[in-house]
Amino acid sequence: MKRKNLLALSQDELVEGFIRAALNQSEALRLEEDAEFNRLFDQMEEIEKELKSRAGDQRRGLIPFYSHPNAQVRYAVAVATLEINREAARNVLEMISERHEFPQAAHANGILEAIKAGRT
Amino acid sequence: MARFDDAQRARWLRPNARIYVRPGGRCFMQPDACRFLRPDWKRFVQPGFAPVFLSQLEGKANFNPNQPRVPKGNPNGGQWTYEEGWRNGANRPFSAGRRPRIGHNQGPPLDEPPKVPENKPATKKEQNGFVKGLARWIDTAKQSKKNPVAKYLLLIEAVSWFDEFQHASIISYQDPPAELNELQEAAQGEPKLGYERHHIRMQKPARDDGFPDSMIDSPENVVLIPYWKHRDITGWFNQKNKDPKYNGLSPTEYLQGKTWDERREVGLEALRIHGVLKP
Repeated sequence: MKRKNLLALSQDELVEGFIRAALNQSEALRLEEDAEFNRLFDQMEEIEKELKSRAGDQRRGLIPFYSHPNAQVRYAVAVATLEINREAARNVLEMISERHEFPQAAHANGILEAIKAGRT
Repeated sequence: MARFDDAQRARWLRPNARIYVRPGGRCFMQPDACRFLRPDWKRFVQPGFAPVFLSQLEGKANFNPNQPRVPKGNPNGGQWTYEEGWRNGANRPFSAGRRPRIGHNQGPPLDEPPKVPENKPATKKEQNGFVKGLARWIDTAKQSKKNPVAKYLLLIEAVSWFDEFQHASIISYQDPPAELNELQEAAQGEPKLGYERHHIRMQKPARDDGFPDSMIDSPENVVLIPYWKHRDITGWFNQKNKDPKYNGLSPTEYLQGKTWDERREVGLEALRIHGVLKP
């Protein structure tokens, strides 16, 4: 998803694109398709950057998805909003970890270790 | 809702229970399956029916028939309590400050268990997809503290095409984290069904960077871990990572040109975050 294409999208469209990519990542993980996972990772990074750059930091549009049924969606929105909604985002990651929602729990545990180590 | 649930369960006890099974539904649950929810469920298991498998799962699910239950007459009467008993009849399954668990108002409910394919899937990939999904679902369900052991039995009974390895791989996935020396010693022992040898510092990246096999294959670098955890960890090494340390790279990319010690650090992190190695 090219940067100039993202500029033309509304906030809702960006958020929808992020969530859809996270759902596709979930499927890529299930099918062990790492290349596809990584392609979607890059796409989501671009969307996140674009949301961040918009007035008021529109990553907050991802916050309502903290209770999404899909663990990959919850993980992705939690990490994307850690900077602007730290405690609640951290709680989401800790819940994924405690519920053993693997493979997402492994990524969540990694971020939680990074938080503990002061890296984020 | 409790009355509705009771009515739903009761229909399975009627002589005409089969009329409530949807066409083709036998692949998922038998009409008299609710007997496995009773405390005396064991007497309904056929003698010799994978007894080792069931007791292994029971052990790993921390099933304890003496665990306190919510007293009769309370809204959740009969269910195992998380805390010890009830105080003044208050419904307090969680102590103050405990994080919400599966099914609690603040957490998404546990997914339904993976649907059992009616016939054995044609490809190994499809079979593995189901087996891996089931292993993960059981691990997640165990964390709910609501004794879902009975649910596992329904699933296992429904699946007639599992082979020994598939059974073993589901059980091994439920292993609690272990000490590093235990994992290393196990790797030096006899091969074990449901487990695989794993290199803490991944083989190919280390070899590509010029480290000799004598170091890569040394006992210090090899552990025995559950099969599906091995697959998960291998995937994790190849997946781009949001931890700032990796700067958007996968751990494998990050480790290019890195030292032997740095590789160990990342390798141990992989084992820890996947619940294989004790923190």
